[in-house]
Amino acid sequence: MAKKSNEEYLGAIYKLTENGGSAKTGEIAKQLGIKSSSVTEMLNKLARKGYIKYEQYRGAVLTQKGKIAATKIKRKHRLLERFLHDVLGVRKSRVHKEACRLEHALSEDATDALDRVMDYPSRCPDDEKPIPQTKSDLKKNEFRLSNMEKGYVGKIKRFEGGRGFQLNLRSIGIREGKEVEIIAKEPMGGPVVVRTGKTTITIGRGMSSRIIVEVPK
Amino acid sequence: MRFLLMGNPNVGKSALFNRLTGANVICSNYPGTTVLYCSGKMHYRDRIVELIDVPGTYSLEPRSRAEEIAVEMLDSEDVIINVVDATNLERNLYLTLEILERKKRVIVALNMWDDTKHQGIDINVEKLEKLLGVPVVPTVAVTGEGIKELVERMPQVATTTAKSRSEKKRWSKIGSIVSEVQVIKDKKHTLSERVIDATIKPLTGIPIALLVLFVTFTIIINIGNWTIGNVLDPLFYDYYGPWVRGFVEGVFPSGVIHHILLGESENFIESLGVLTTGVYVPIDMVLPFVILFYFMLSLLEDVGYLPRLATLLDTMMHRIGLHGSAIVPAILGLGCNVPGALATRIMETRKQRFIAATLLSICIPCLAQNAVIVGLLLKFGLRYILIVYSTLILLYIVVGLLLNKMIKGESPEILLEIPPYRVPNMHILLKKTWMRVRHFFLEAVPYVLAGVLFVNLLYVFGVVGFFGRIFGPFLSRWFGLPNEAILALIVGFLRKDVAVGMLAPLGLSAMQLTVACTILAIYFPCVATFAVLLRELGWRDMMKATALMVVVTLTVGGLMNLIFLSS
Repeated sequence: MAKKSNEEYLGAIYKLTENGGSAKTGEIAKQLGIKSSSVTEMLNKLARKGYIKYEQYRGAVLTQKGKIAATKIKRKHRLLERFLHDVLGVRKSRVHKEACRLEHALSEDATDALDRVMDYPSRCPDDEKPIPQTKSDLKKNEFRLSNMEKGYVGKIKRFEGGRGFQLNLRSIGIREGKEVEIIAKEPMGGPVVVRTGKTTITIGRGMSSRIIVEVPK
Repeated sequence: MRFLLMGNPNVGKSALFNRLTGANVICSNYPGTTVLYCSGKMHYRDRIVELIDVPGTYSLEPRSRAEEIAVEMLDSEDVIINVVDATNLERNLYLTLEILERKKRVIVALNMWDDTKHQGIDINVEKLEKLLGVPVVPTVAVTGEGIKELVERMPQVATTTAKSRSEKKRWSKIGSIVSEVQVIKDKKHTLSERVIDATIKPLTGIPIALLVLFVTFTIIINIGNWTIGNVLDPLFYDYYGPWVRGFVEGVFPSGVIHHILLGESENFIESLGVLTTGVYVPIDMVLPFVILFYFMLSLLEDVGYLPRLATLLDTMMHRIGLHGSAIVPAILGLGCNVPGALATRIMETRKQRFIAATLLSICIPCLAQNAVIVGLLLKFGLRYILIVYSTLILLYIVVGLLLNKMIKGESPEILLEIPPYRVPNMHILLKKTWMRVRHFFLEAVPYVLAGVLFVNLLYVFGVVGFFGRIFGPFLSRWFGLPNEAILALIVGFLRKDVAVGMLAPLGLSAMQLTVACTILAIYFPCVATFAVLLRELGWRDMMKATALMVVVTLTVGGLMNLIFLSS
């Protein structure tokens, strides 16, 4: 049995703790198909690196840092599953294994492109688990542009997407630190119309959900 | 020596182009592609040089075919007139810096200078010039203000020593430039801005859009019909007809050539003579609509309405794998499918271009066709015309949904700037209309004449009878149309308007005409459009599109026969 990588451990812990609670050593071993003894050693290593909190008898919980890393890998995994299933026509029973092998080779940019090609799918095909957005934890006064109501004003904080996505937005005038006002939201998942300075711009709903805006209290 | 005019979209680049060049403007395809660009002659020192209006782009990292071409053109030339929107300095400078980093010789036209005053923007031009290291000239392209100075200072085009920067460094450089040269006094939204937003909010925007389209088409149809009935028809029937008949009969009293030139009937639509139908269809039936259509389209475009329409229709267009901007090729296609097919280049991905082009060739009849369809069917009543167009609209949606499911690939979302409303300049508006009308006629008239000639030759050599015998029995039973109508379908490969005209003398019932008109509209684009699409999509995709057309035609024609004719 080949040695399992950090990413695989994080992925397994993410899955086991997705609905709360902690991941027990035995569960992790079962998930990865390895012996419990080798799991303990690896968990200690991950805890030292700050990815998880680990106590021998209570199991492992992801830290903030670990959560971000695990979310990235799960997103890749589930998007790949969708791609293998929907586009390449790989059977449902096989997508998980294939995705496990591919996920480590996929860059962030390629992942974003995959997300776009698949038109931002929400769930993976085999067990219908949600596909997470990276860096999805919003701060208290942060909103996704798509969730803001007409008339709201806020300051653009950051983008969730690849280089090309960000470059397109910046060059048309949507940049970090700029103030935006929501002018209109077209019905039935249609685009959002925003104004920044003297420029008015129509942005697709999917794109606008990846623009994070800070709204002053 | 060639000059390139480059800038963001909606900065008045084309208006400036019109100011700088004279009448001799040529729009052509960039070699090997269907991306259209215009070039004209401009005075530079004591010489005449070429000026090229490059497709608008926000950065040198292209998003679509058109932007790719813009970058390619930049690489091959080195004198750039960079048009910058003075009311949106920050964003526009991004492209400017990118161009300067490529060591090009540059002069900046700081356009829309007049708007800065109303908007409380104060720009220190001298300082900007010093910071950029190239000449900066404030201009107002629509009125011509500052154009003279721009031309005078062109010899001072300069290169800078700017090194290539990262995106982040570029923005911080822009930040420091803008904070030094620009002061904004008043940032409040004006009342007119609020009122103007009504055209983009769904609740008010959709009724306004319907009204705009209704008024537009009412104007086109009514003025067009009036002109035909009161001016052109009398000219043709009272003067041109007798004259051309007298002339031809004087030279060729009878025989094949007489037949080819004049045809058999006195009626201009039905005779199918080169000098009768061949001249009447384009000049009398189509020309008035072409002029009016392109005038209204250019007006909507110059006012800045189209991006709003694109926003309102985006939801629907996204369902069929396109996005709001795809209304541009669709609307242009209503005029002539050729520029419509060319305009599919604004779509970002291959999938979107394929869907837009296929829908265009199946569901969007060009103006020549529209004019003849309306001309033929109006006398039977409005409901027949409604049947034709409702079928086409339904097809657009159904085929679109199907294609979106079938075609693999990416359908990016809309990201579109909504320019402020502007009062159009009549001079530029008319020039634009003229360019489009001229293009239409250079494309159309030769094909109409060739089409009519072709039909006559087919008759003379008995080819018609031959095809009629082979395909006629099956198709006529399938579509519920007489054998002769099938010939019109064959001619439709060349010119749809001529083909529809051929249906006129067959004595078809109103419903048969309706079915025939619909089939003609969907089954194949004319030869000119086909050639453009072939170049745009390539052989493989064009074969797919053609196969789809055959299937759709047989299905729709068969269904219409079942629904409307069999009972």
